[in-house]
Amino acid sequence: MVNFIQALIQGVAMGSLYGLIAIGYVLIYNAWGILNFAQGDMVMVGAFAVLVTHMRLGLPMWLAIPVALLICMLIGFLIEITAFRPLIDAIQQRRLIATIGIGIFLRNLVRVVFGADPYYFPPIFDNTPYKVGSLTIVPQNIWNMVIGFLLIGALTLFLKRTTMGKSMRATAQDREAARLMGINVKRSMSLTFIIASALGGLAGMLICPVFYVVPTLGTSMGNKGFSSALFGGISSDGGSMLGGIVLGLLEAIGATTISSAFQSSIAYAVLFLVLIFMPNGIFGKKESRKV
Amino acid sequence: MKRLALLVLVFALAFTGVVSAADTIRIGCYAPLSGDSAMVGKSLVDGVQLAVDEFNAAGGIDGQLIELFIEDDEQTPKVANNAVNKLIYEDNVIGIVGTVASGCVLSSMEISWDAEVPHITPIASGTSITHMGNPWIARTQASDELQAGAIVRYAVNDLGAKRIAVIFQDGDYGTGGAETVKAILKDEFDMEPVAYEQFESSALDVSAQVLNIKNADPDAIIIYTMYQQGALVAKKVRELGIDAPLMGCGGLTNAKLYELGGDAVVGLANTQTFFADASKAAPSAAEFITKFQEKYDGRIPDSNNAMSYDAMRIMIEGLKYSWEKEGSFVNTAIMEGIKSVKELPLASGTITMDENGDANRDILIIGITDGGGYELIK
Repeated sequence: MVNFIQALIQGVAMGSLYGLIAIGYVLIYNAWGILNFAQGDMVMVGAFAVLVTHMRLGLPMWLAIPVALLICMLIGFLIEITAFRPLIDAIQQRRLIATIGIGIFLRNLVRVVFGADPYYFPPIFDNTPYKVGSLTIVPQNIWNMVIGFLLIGALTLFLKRTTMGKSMRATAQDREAARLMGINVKRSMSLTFIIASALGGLAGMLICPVFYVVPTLGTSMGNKGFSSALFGGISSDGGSMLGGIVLGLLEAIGATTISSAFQSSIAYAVLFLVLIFMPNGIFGKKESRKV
Repeated sequence: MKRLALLVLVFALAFTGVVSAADTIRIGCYAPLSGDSAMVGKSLVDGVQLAVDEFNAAGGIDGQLIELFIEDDEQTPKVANNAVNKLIYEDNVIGIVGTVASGCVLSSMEISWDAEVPHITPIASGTSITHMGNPWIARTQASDELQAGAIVRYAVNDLGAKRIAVIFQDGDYGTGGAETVKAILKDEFDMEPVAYEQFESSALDVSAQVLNIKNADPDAIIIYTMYQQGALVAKKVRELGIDAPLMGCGGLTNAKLYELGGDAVVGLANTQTFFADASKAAPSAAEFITKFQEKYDGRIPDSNNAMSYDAMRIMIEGLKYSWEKEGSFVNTAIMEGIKSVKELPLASGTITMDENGDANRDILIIGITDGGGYELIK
């Protein structure tokens, strides 16, 4: 039982990070009508950005993270104007391939600059585990969860309550109609991209103290985030967060109760079943655009 | 465009033609020189180059010097196949040394096997490489069988472990090694691992696996992974409050292990063929360390340097054998020479080749000390 609860905690902690990445996929999908396969690599960019600002430039953590976030936003913006905006009216496959290409480019650029070996990153929060009964709690994991949920709350408020957020949602629903209503469509699409990049980058910053900073980080995290987005429903921001947590839980519980050799198989088998019976994901709204 | 490509090709051919003088012994070497494993690939080439330079400086075999042809395999089986094809059919080499990944060796050795060219792999440890009936392959790395045997015996005989847990990464290295550990535990000690946990090489979190281990309450944990995953496992093991001793095999030896794992990996023991401390090493190893440092500006050699150097030295033994026996370099005689190496003191131990082409020798057990240094345990 203790083990089961411990597995639950680990599952939710990893899952909330998956969820943060998933939201990035969802935001961009809704605004641009396309899956951004470079979203995973923004996680890696975030991890390297904070590695540079904190470890190389020696900025204290409270300053290093905001600066790293700005770097992510800037890189996200650059990606948008170089690989997304010029292709906005191109056929779907070309746009998709452009996102894959950007991912490969980022991964290899970082590998050339920093090498392929992983880097250690110190804990952002206290990483000494403490005991609650026979449970082991690692503060960083709890913080990851809390930050994940706070961000999703903040994002929802932003999208629903602010003019900027509303115009982003309007653009996502119907670009042409939004333009006719006098919304600066270009700006709100850029903004979506920048926010999605920042969320991905932040997930990278939160994962690197429990893992490492390594150029391939984006591939593994990106896959999990993408799967979470499908789990939760690609059209639902909140759903993708929950989708991430479901994925994290499935991995943790599958490995502890059935067999660790099938850890991913179990999680992905459930994903297939969900997609077969609920093509819009667990929390997705019914609509004509499907994955 | 086509014409340009043709021109380049002609030049390239002409160039390779010019370089090779008549009286050279053409030997091929391939390794990952770009991509994620480029550092290991460079270690391989540096070790081989040292042995070649030493041989050539000593006058070669009756004045015939070795000319080394180097190819990049990008740690990808397909590219490795191309590299070996080029070495054999374009560069006309008579012997090959390479490469790092077991998967690359397994696929590319089919080509040297078909062409009947003696092939020594310095670093790949997969047991199957020398157990597929390929008469043209040999290796200087201690096979997974030798390493796993050494670490299991250390756990049971030296530490008195009764409840051994095994955790490993998926893929050729981890799965193959863990299966070997399991088989040796069964055959030699009639024991079953109390936990047998697998995770993906790209896993970001191994909590679930380590929790299973914690539940099994082991008194020793064998980690069959590379150093990056090894550090991840060690950190999680200590974080979840398990204090059983950690141990593993050659894939864990790397300065990065301590950098990534910190205090969690202190005390971790692993198998090794080479210990880079001239004062404690055998005379032949100490001699290698000195020569290596002279050539490479004082850099301390690692085990990959040592095993690659040894691979080339064993290739040279094969060449000498053939020259003495046949008066020329004949593939069958070179291979016979390679496999008849007996108790030859080299950088990575005193080596005796067996009929499969594996290098048998005593395996060292080394441990990580406070601050990330290594000590020789036995």
